[in-house]
Amino acid sequence: MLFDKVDWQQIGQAVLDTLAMLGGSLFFTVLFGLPLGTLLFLTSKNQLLEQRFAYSTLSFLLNILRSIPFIILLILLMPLTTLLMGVSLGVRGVIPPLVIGTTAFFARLVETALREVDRGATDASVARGASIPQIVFRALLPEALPGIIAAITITAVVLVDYTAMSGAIGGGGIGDLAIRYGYQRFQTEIMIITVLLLIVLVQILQASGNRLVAHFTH
Amino acid sequence: MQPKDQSTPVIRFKQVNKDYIVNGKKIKALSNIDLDIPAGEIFGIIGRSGAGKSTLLKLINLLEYPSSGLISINGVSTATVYKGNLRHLRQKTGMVFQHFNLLNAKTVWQNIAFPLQIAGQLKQQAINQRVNQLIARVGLSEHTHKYPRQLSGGQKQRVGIARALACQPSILICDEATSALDPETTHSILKLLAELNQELGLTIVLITHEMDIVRQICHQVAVVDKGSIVETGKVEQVFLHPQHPSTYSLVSELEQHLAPPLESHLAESIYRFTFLGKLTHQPLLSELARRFGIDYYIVAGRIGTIRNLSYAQLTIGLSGESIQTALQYLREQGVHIEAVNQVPPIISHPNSVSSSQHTTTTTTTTTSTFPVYGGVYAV
Repeated sequence: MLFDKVDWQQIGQAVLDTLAMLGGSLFFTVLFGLPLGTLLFLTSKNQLLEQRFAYSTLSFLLNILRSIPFIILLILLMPLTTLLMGVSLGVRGVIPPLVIGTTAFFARLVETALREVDRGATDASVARGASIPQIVFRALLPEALPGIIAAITITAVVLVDYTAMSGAIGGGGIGDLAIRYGYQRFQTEIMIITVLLLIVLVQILQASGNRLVAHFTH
Repeated sequence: MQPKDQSTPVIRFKQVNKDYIVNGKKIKALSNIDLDIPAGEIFGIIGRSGAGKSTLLKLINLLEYPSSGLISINGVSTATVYKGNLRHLRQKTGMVFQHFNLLNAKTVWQNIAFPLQIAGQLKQQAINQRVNQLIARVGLSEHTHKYPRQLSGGQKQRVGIARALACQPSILICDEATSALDPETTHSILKLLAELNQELGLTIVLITHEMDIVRQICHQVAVVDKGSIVETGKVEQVFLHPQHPSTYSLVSELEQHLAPPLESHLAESIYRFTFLGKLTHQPLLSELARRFGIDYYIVAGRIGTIRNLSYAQLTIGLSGESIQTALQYLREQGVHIEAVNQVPPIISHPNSVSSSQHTTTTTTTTTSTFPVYGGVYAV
């Protein structure tokens, strides 16, 4: 049989590693990206904190981060990762580059999601005498929630892609397995299994994202 | 009807100017605005888009500050309002929007509770009570837990009104509040506003481009054109006797039948009679014929109501021996009479005036009240 030589335990571990990397980096990406995206939106033209200099600086920095290919970012960030996590390898070792690589992307998506909110929500809140934090937390973010969930879903799918790539520098997980066994040792069956697993993972993420978006769209 | 002896106006503008700097150029949005809006009235501000209505509104709502001049709200000059105070003042000025501006992620109940939660002065229980009371008042009890997308336009605007009233404001500003609604719904919303004005003694500032809205519920109106107030006064006065071309064109949009048929030049004298209130129910015209032996025919006319006041304004051709005596009699009865030597055209294009001259000779000397529409004058 084709799959006789497959070490299922190893694959199970790889799946767990991937999920850990995904969960950990998604958490931090949202943690940093949501405020950044909101700030980006608020400082943009005609918004509550319109600040041309702040907006263009922030925008410029995020663009720089987004223009570096992820595989290069992984290598560039190795010293920083070692400093932060004590290691530059393994699940813990790839979380910092994953977070940095996707935060800028996610922040842009948040900015877009907020831009989709009807301007009337802001206008009405201002006219009702709401403060800026009140407008952000009670009106803008709740209104943008479906858009933000969609952004998280897209980011999660991108992260699956990136975790696989991080296998190249010894990040572990499904991608690591695919490269070490499927590619370097010509074990096609491992390659097939890893690809199938990635497909299933992405489908699950997208489907649950869609469900949540539908649930929060009123 | 409204109490007539208000002390200080709720909103007062004194020589207010507002300029915007666009691409380094100064653009005058409002110039020399003087405006007194008395307490408890429904005050219409009418004008075409770009006339300066929205700027005027933003000044009342403290979303913008005047470049010069003084604005006071409830006797307090807005120049002295500081940040914390400013938010409080805004909470005391309700605002209803053309496109409702509801929060789609919140239910009807949550939308109305929103300003109360922001203000943070009431306990949860008091908020519950107030919101339920407001929902009942605007007639949405069955829709309490629906989301805005599940509501019709009229229902959405009712939510908007309830939300605006949540913090018990003394002023309610309606910015084209019915422009996105069909005529029937518009009527029901206007009815609600008029009721709220009566029940709560609420001052309502109604910003619109439709004279019909003003006619239906306003007590007074100010006509805004090119950043200035060109005419202001009681609605019956402005509506029935417009002085400024801009006002005239807003009125004539509503009255498609002001122009006379071509034969009108056959009449010896053409007059415009305005009957108000009780006079509209008196057989004055037939009296004219019987007592003074005068023949008449109706050239044009409009009959209707301004708020609850019925009016009839008829342009009438007269012939007979004792016209002046007859007119004197009518005037004594309270009829407002203007001689007409040229019925103004339907459309207010100054160019079209000359082409539609229906000059009728009258015995009195004509003194023009306005050069373009100079045909109408009081006798």
